[in-house]
Amino acid sequence: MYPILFLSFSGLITLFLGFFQEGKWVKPATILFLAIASISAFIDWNKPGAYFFNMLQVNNFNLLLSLVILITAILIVAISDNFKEIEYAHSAEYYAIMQFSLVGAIMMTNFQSLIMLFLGVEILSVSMYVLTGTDKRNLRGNEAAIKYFLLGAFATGILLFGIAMIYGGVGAFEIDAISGTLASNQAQSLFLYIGLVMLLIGLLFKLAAAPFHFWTPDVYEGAPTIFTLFMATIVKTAVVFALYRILHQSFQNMHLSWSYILAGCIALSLIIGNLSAVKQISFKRMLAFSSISHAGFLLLGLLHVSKTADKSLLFYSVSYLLASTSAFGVLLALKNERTENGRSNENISVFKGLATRSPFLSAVLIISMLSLAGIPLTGGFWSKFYVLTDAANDQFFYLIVLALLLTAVGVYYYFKPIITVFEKSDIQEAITINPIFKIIFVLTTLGTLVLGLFPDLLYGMI
Amino acid sequence: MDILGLLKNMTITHWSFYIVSMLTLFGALGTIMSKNPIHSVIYLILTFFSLSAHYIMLNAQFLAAVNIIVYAGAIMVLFLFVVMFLNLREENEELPKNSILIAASIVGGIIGITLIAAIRQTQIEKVNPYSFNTKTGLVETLGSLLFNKYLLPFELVSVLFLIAMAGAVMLGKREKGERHF
Amino acid sequence: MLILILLLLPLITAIAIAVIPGISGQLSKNIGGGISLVNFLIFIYGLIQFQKGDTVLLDYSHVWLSNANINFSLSADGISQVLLGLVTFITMVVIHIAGSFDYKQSSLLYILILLTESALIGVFTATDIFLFYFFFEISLIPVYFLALKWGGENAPKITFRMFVYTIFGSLLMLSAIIFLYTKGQTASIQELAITGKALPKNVNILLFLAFIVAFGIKMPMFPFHTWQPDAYTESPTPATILLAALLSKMGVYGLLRIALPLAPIGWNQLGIYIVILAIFGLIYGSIIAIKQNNLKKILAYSSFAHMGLMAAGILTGNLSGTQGAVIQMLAHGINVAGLFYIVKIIQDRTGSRNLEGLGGLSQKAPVLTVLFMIVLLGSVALPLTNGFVGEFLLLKSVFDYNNTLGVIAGLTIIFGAVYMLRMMQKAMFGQLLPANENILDVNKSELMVLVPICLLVILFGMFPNLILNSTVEAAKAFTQLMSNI
Repeated sequence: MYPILFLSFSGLITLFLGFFQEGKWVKPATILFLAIASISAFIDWNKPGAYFFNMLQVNNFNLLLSLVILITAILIVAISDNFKEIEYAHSAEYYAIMQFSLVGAIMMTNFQSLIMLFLGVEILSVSMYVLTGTDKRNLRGNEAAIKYFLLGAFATGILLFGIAMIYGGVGAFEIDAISGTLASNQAQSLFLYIGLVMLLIGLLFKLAAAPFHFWTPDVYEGAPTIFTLFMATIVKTAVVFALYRILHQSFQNMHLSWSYILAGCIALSLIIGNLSAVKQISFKRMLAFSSISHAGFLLLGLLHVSKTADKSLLFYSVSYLLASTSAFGVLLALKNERTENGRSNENISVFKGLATRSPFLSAVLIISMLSLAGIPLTGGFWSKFYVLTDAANDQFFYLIVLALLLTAVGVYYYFKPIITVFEKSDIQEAITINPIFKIIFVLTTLGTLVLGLFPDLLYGMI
Repeated sequence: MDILGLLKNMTITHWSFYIVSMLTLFGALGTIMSKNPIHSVIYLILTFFSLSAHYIMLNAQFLAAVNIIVYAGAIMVLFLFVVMFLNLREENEELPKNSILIAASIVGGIIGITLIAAIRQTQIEKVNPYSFNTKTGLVETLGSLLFNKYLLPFELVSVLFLIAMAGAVMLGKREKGERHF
Repeated sequence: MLILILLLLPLITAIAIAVIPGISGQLSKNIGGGISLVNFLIFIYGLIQFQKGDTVLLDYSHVWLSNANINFSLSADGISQVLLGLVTFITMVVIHIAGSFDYKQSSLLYILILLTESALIGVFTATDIFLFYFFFEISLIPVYFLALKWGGENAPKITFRMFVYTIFGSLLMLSAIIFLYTKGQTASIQELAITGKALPKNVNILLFLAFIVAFGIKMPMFPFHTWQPDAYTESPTPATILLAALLSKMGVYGLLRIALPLAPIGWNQLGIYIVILAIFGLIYGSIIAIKQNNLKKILAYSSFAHMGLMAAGILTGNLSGTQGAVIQMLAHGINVAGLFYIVKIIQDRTGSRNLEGLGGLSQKAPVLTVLFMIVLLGSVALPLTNGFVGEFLLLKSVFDYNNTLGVIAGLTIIFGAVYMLRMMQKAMFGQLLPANENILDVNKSELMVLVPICLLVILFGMFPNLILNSTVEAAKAFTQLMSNI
């Protein structure tokens, strides 16, 4: 609860900080604010309850989620640059909007009333539309922003319609009221079903799950890399837990109805995501398709209403965001390599010869790719393990086989960068890495390995 | 059934509801069917006004007023401005392909059927005119609700607007330099 | 506890070499070699204590994933001990071999070899199915990078094919494992065997097929072998030896420990067909090997043929087959390491590994020829060499299982002798090419590897009971499990 309030104010302060000394203090201040917000989350530790007239649900798990989101945000802010070299950059606005968007993300994970969910989705999405278009002179970025905005606004409309329908069916916005009505075993109003489907469509769109994924590759590729990372990690985590709260905590009694919809989306996401990623040349586009397949895996964790679903999903999110931060971070560290038309090379070929030029960066990249592919020794393996064992039951076991076979396809494209790393390149000079990047990479890579060796450290703690 | 009898039994409320609904539908259809953008916008204004009339019939005067002020007043004027500025009068729009039209009508039809089925299945409780709180839709009730129960969302909406404003300013500002892919 | 040290020592050494800056290739070679020797000695110590009756040393168990009931439990019975010995011995050999050739950035090389050792020790001792899977899959990664970085021109493509193949198989196995796990709510391999037995027939058949594909790719077994010859040829010799001597054994071991016990009804229904496939692969591989000219390819196909016979032996499910497969795993591991090393030596001296570019080397390198002959005869399964006992037991088991198949499998002795002796004759005898006038005989460093290997070839050939006695209990436990379905 407190992070939401704090970040709303700190965002405002950040906006004004842009006036002082050409915005020199904006980035450090943002990190400081985010750190304070993370600490402020602990005020409510062990004080579960519903606050603000049943608008927010506070419990330790939700606080942990807020923490995960905030810490990821700190990592992302730390590896984003100062926008010093771009004269038209408005760093104060970027960082302020980032903080506001976190308000939305935390609302989406802690909501109790669907109104809060809608507002959270809206705050997060509007920030993302803006951030996608920040590189204004980049036509592809403009295209991405417009696409994202138009489609996203439509999806939000459907989401809102769905919430209205659910209200029509139940007469309440609170998720425990909904689950109470559903538990009463009476015939339910059809509005509830329509509303649930529309709500699902709206959220699955934000999650980039097939068949609502069409915006993903273009937007991921067009957006500045740092915001692509933001989308792939924070937005996904927030949406997945919003879905978790809706499906597992309010509509769990309608499991029979929604599990088939979900199963279809999972199968499509896995197939489309993995098969399309194989052909990509652009690293960001490849990761966009891979994020679609990861959306499928996350949904797989939601498929079966089980007691451990929340833990599995949190584990999956954490290991996914660690690996993504490494992968996108390496791309950012190589930003100044081989620019074309004033735009950095974002193809897989940018990693050529990395093994000799910077063994450190190549190790970071390789471990992140292994984790995304789900190879043991990395967090990615156990996250897949937890999600799959949660989803395993006779009814949908074919989905698990499908998921695992498509993981083999995943290995195919995740290894393309790894092979490129070992290719010989004409440029031999060593790459200098910013010390902040180094710290972040060490943290994320170690985190990935520790999760791979001792998954109980995180899973047992939740 | 005897249609004349039905018409005779209709109260003034019924009459106004059907007339306003017809106006709304007429306006909505006009918005999407007319080829001239300006006509479209004017039809849209008509739709908003008739929607406001619905609100008034539902005893939501404040909402009706706000709807007219914000949508019909502010946003529509902006729309008109944009349309006139961009001079979109030429009719060079291409009709979408048949396949898209067919797909859209199927999807729309299915949603329509589901909604109709839902409405038919639902039994709407009649309002008891004697115990009904006539202040339900008035500013006072709404205000106290917004500042009590819905305080947090109400305040957080300001964050949303702030993002929208800051973002619009940031994106709208003209920048020096070349564009590139 | 000792077994944990065995597992962790190479791992920690590898991490230390990687993390501590400024360790040169030479130093890391010495460290790696020393550690692998220490590991071998630790294993010998553990073995001696085990024979004395102190079985606790080779057992370790600790909770790993508390919520999922998955334990980090290692245990070595007779069969595992044989393989542990092979792993620790071959790692030593591989590090020595890697050190005698010039590889760039070689400290990474030793890191990867040590990591492989660690993973393999895990595979051969894990008693928890997820732990087994964990090690099974990561064992390939260091070898993959070895082959990728120091392999030939086509290495990226070919090693990648190998990787995708095996991952595909592993993932099929993972889905089978997850299915069993959710049914049995336990991850212990022993307890899962009970679960597996209780499952209906059609499910059992699917599980068995999934396991067969996974392990069949790893070995490789016909028809999943297409990645193997190229991968063996294109990889650098250390990686080839690791692949042929150690990683392929994981497939056979997996059949023995996982595939048959966990899907017994499936084995009962389909076993005969898989045996036929394995025998077919055996004959097929032998015939192709006869037609090859590339020394490494001959060895690759011969290896493929041998693996087929081992798989057939396990799949018969009788005692002689099991024991034969175990002893053959050891013998084949030792022989194939020696053979690939000799080929590498020849290639280094003459610059060719094709039969056309060789010939008459015995005139210039008599010691090498003798050593080559000994190892080669071991591979051909001449009596009094280590290959003989295993092959004899395996053929006997197949014959007991099905007479016709046994006779067909018997052909392998003839074929094996043909391609091996053909290779020997063309490479070492005959006309000496003028280009090879000045080649040198083996040096001391090479003798340090080849002499122990030759000694082992003869030792296990003369005293097969060393192995047979120590594995008989574990093998009996396995056959008992398989006999009462």
